[in-house]
Amino acid sequence: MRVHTLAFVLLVAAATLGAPGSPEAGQAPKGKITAMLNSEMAAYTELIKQFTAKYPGTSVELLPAPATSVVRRERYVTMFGAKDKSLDVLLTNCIDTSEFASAQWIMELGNALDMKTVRENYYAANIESGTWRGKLYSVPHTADALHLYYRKDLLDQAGLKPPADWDELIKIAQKLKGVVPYGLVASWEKGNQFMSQYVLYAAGNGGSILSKDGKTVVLDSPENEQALQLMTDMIHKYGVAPLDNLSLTVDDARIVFNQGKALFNVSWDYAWGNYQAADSPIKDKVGMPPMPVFPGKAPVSVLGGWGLAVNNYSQNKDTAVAFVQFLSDPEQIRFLLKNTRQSYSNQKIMSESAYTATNPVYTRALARDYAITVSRPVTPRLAEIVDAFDQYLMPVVFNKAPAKDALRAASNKTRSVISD
Amino acid sequence: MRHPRSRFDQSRVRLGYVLLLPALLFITVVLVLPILQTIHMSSYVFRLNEPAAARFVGLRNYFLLFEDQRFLSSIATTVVFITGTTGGVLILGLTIALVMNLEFRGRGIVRSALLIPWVMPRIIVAKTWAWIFNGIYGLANALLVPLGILGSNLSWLNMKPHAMIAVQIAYIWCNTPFAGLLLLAGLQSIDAELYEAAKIDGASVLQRFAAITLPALRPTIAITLIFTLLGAFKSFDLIFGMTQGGPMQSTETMMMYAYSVLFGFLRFGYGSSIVVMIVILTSIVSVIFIKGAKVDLGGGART
Repeated sequence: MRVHTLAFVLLVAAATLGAPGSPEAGQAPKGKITAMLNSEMAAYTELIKQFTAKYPGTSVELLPAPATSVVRRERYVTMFGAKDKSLDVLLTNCIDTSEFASAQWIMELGNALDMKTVRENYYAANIESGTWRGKLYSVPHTADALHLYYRKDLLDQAGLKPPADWDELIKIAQKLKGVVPYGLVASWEKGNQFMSQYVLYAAGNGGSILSKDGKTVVLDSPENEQALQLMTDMIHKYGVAPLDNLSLTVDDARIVFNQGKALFNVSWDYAWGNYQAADSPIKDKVGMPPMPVFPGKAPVSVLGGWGLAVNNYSQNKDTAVAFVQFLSDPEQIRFLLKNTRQSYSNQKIMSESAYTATNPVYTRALARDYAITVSRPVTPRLAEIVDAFDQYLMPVVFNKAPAKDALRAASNKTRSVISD
Repeated sequence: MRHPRSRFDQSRVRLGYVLLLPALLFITVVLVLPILQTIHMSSYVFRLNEPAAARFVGLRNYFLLFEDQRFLSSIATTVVFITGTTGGVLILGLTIALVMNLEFRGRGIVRSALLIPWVMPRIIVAKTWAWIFNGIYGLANALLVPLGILGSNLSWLNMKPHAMIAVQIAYIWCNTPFAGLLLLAGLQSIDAELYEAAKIDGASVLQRFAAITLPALRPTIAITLIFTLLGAFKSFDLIFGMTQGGPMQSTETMMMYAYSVLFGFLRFGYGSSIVVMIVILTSIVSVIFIKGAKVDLGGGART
């Protein structure tokens, strides 16, 4: 090959492969991109039509997403590991940001957005969950948190107010035993759900897994032990939670409550839409009270949510970033809020009266609980810590291991995971 | 085979190799190269999301494996799983084959229907059985409690050894048809005259079964055993769909553990060593069974 041909080829190669970075200003988006978002296919398909109308010459293929977050993460990981460029825009779980960002699998997006507006409009916790080492890698899109749902009708009938603390919840569930088969139904299954639920109780008791700087493991503490013991006692001592909690998926637990078989359910945002559906047996019978507290402690909730990220191996980053910007635009968020069952991270829009007036119970609960969320540990090795919890802490809740020893074992394992 | 002496023989042999070449190439690329790559990866500490930190450690992963309590438990769990499932599949498969070998109306339809569990996508089967064994609204409890067999609802997938029994039941349900068909084919190749002669000699049903059926079926049973054993060894989707290795790792076979390490923790170096161990152990078991059953897989019986 002649020298100048070779040089030309190398130049073109360098230009197309390029180093990850921000899209050049003034370059109109064009070409095809592929996106994997969530199950709200109809709403996003409509938005894609608007996007391609706004930017002629672009096309967006919307791929259906796997049903669970675990499978989705594995799909992404396999793709990233193979440096696959077939997916451009992806919705990433807030707990996966650190893993993907630290591997430089997703693109840094701070330069593509007006960060001042982002900071003003979005829930701080959501922004933080999309940030790694001070840079934004995932634009918060859907928001989510754990809430307490309860059968307002059954408690009102018995002349009872919603529980202010966990002891009261246990007493109410014991008092109303027999009215419905189960007291507190929740997804405590191994994996992310057990971790989320345990963090709810642990943080609610003032405990924590990692120190603020993320470098020290503080798992073996009396507060964490009490939290673990509470979960265990709810099943085995007080009989107000079924053993089945330990293998129920999020939706399994939601279905049990939705069928009117339980008094309380700790679940994510999406459950409300199902409980209030036209054909729901418990429509208008559900309340969302503040999360119960531990004695002398403040209520907490656990942060969830998904953000929009761009594959660092994408061949069309300009269009991908433009799509992310488009989906984050207030007008599009309002559309999604109206046409989907999700909540969104733009707190300005979430508190607009046009929305809150249509759904006062729900929006009040969201605003209240989003403000008190704690995050699960932020570390690229979260999956191994989740596994350590499954291995050492779950047996305690199965009543097969003592809490103190289990916490020590889990702490040692967590220490070796983050320091290896 | 005789040594090819004539040039005609030699060219036939050469043609044989040439025709084999595409298949060999395919197997090499799809099977051998990935195995070699896995062996290579197992000599590194390598996290998929931290490729820059990869370092060569030789056989260290294997030494760690033998000290890894969880890996050793997973071997025991695998042994329990494959023993129960293989035994169940063989016994049930043989029973079904014996029944299918009889003449009755609708036999053709029943034989076809028999295959349905085997062809259903495994993950759907797994999720369905998980629903059946669900402690709150599952079919198992809904049937067994009113019948008085169970006192109250059992949380099947949360108890040891109930969860292991549940996954074994699901596996047996899936794989019995395949074994049944293999054994049925074996049964049909038994000369009916042998049974006639035995009947004339006054042999009972059980005696005919023990003296004629079983010995004649020996090679078929051996093949069925090997297929079922290997299938159970590498079984993943059923356990993944039903229990994900829980409760408390009581259904965590070697494959499930490998999956956790590889795709959960992204520890591709250590995970590769687990996979290599699985390959080695399955190979050893296969060789033992093939030699032990004295089956000539090259065709042509020899006892």
